[in-house]
Amino acid sequence: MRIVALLCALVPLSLLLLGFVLPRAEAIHPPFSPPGRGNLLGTDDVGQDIFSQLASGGLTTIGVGAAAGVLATLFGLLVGGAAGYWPRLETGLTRFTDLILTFPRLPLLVLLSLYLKPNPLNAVVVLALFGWPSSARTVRPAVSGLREAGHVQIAKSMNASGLYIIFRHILPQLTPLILVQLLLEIRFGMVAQTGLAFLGLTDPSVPSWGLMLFQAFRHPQTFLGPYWLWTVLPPALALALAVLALSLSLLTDERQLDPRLRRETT
Amino acid sequence: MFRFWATVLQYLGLALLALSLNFFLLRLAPGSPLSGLDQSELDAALSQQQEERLKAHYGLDLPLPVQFSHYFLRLSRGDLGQSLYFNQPVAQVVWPYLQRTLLLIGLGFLPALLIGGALGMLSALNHRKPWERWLLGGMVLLQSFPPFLIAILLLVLLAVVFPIFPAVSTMLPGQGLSDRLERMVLPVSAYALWELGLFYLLVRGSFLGVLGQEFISYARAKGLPERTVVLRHILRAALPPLIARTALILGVSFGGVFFIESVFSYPGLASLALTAIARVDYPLIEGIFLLTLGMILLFNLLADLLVARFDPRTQEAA
Amino acid sequence: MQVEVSQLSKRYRRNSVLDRVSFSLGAGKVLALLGPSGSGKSTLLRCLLGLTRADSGTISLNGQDLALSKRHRFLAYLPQHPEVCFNPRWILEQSLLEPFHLLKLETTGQSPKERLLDISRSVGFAPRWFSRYPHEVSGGELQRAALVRAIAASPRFLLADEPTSMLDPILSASVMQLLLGLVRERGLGLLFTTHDPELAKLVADHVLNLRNGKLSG
Ligand SMILES: Nc1ncnc2c1ncn2[C@@H]1O[C@H](COP(=O)(O)OP(=O)(O)OP(=O)(O)O)[C@@H](O)[C@H]1O
Ligand SMILES: [Mg+2]
Repeated sequence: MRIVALLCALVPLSLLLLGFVLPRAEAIHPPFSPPGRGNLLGTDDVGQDIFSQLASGGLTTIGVGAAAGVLATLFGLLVGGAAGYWPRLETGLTRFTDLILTFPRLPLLVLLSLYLKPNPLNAVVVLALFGWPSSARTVRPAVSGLREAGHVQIAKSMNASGLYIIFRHILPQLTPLILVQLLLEIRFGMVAQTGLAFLGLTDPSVPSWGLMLFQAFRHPQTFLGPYWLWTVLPPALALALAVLALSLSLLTDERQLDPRLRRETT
Repeated sequence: MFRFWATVLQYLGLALLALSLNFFLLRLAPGSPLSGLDQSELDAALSQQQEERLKAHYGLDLPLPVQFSHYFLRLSRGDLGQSLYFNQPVAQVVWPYLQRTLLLIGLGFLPALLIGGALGMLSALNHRKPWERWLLGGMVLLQSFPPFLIAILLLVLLAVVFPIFPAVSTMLPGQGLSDRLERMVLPVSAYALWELGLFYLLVRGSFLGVLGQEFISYARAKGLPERTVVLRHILRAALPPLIARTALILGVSFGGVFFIESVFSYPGLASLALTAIARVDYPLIEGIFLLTLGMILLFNLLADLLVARFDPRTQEAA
Repeated sequence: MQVEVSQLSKRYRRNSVLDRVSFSLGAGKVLALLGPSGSGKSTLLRCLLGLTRADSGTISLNGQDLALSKRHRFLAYLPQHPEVCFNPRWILEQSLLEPFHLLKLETTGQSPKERLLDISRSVGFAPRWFSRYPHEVSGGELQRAALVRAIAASPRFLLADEPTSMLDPILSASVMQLLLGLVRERGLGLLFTTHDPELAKLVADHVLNLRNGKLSG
């Protein structure tokens, strides 16, 4: 399973790396030329090279997803950890987390992306803002369980500070949990970024897989010829492989399989 | 009883929060609210004078608290305002689109629930058999896929490679019923596929939870035949939380269906929203947002109330 | 040297768990805290150690109030379940060295590790167990490790919560023997809790009967 996940990750990751080195795609080629000489994966309706778009798009999509995922996990860890460790904060923070979690993410994302400048930085902030509650929800019970653990009590009886206990005793034991959460959050970030771009709600000058799909779907010719083969399939498959890689590496984790342990997310 | 009102109150609070967010985003955002989109068109269209007059017309020159109370009063009368592009009341514009979205959800929801539920039950009763692991893995992957990706792959496969169904689901006035239904097949299937995995995991999970409980082993020990055990005991214990969860999923699906609609150009709320965004039709954007949010919150509230009603633990606390 | 506890009370919500408990414990003495399950024994120890905040009452050392921040220099804790008292991701050595880091002990002439070896030898904890993880040693060995850690910081008093309840009779006897040996050799004051009246009478200089949070006799 791990190997299949790695194989799937190979494509999006190499696109990400190429995104750093390849120059931005420019509309200098004949439009809708099929894959082959000159353009490895052909060109789109305005004559931009698909492959370079795929690479720089990967940089945006994976970059935004990963950044938002890391931020959301960190923030969730902070809130969930505080709620789990300090009983006095528990009720308040848990209520707050549940409140945000009940709030439907997608319509809000759409609305916010209308009002904020649709640049990648804002996307990261907004995605992180809506991603953290699910992390907080997983972290809190784990921390509050460890708070009562014997070795924590012993350390406390030896005058250990709260920070010492959190960083030396509690966090290291949570690493598998945090890792799983991180992958989930990154997946959400990537999918949401692509979704927003697919609806045409991101900056049209910043290439991303979702934007490629948006532009392909907007063009009336796309499905009337063979054009979809190189304008639709590559970005769709790239995202599919990225999602698959993340999901496959999560698959071994039983907790993920029990939907009662987490709230449905979109 | 106390719990009931507490839950209702919590959702009222959430709704209020959503309203204020919507209100203040619109008014406090720097520059024009659609600053990120194509602004030049807008600037050219609105001269300084026109803008002032428009502001006065919509009461945008009043102090914010006054505006807020006006806004609130207006909404509480069920008045969502006037669409600029369609030049009709927003509620009137939205209604047919909302109907079509609800139709799409309704048609996709039933098969997803039935097939996903049946597979989930089967899976739970055959826990840890090799084929069950594979089914489980497949379903987990399926539900991890974003809805628009499922829709795109379905479209490519069943409308382009094998052109069985129409790729575009636009509805025109003259179309007959069978034509319309044919155009709904792909969006409905995409939606159903997306939900299938969720329902499967849900049913499987709650059945496994119930199967692990003691009274089931007791019923088995009493020698009740397996089918009786399943039907009578497990269903009775697993059904209430399932119903609650289903309500929750229905709420969430409003988000996912948005993307599916736009893949197939299905004339539901999503396409209306995109039109509204493209035409910079604020009242309409606002109306759709509030409506969607309201639906989701309503389903969530329903789920919470159902959980409270059926779960003995929460009843005890009340 | 003597610890005095006076009028210690603790309630959780409405039920009173400790009700004006007073007693004293001298150096080199053994005090048994006897009581049925739920009578408040663990709670009393936790209050003394500052792991739970008592609602009222004072704890003093030689007549002077013993502030929370100073207690850990004098009191050490031997908890009820040694299996959960070691960080499962640390080898035992790391756990055993923790008191030296946390309490910033000066070990005159010796490195912490050398001192640890000394103590281990005296309670029969073999140095080859140092590099094992908690799940890789037996319950009795773990109990000894817990003891090593408790006395590593040279406390004056040891608060042991049912030190033998999880062990079989032979091991129980040897752990009890170790504890009594520490009292005799190092002049440690020992307070231990137990359900067993026979054991209490057998080894303690004085027995405290705790019932529903109240001391009697
Ligand atoms: N954190 C807590 N919150 C509420 N009640 C508590 C808490 N901790 C302990 N109690 C209650 O205080 C009472 C005394 O508990 P304690 O653990 O001190 O008993 P004990 O004498 O050590 O019992 P045992 O011999 O079983 O270890 C019990 O009735 C218990 O339910
Ligand atoms: Mg106890």
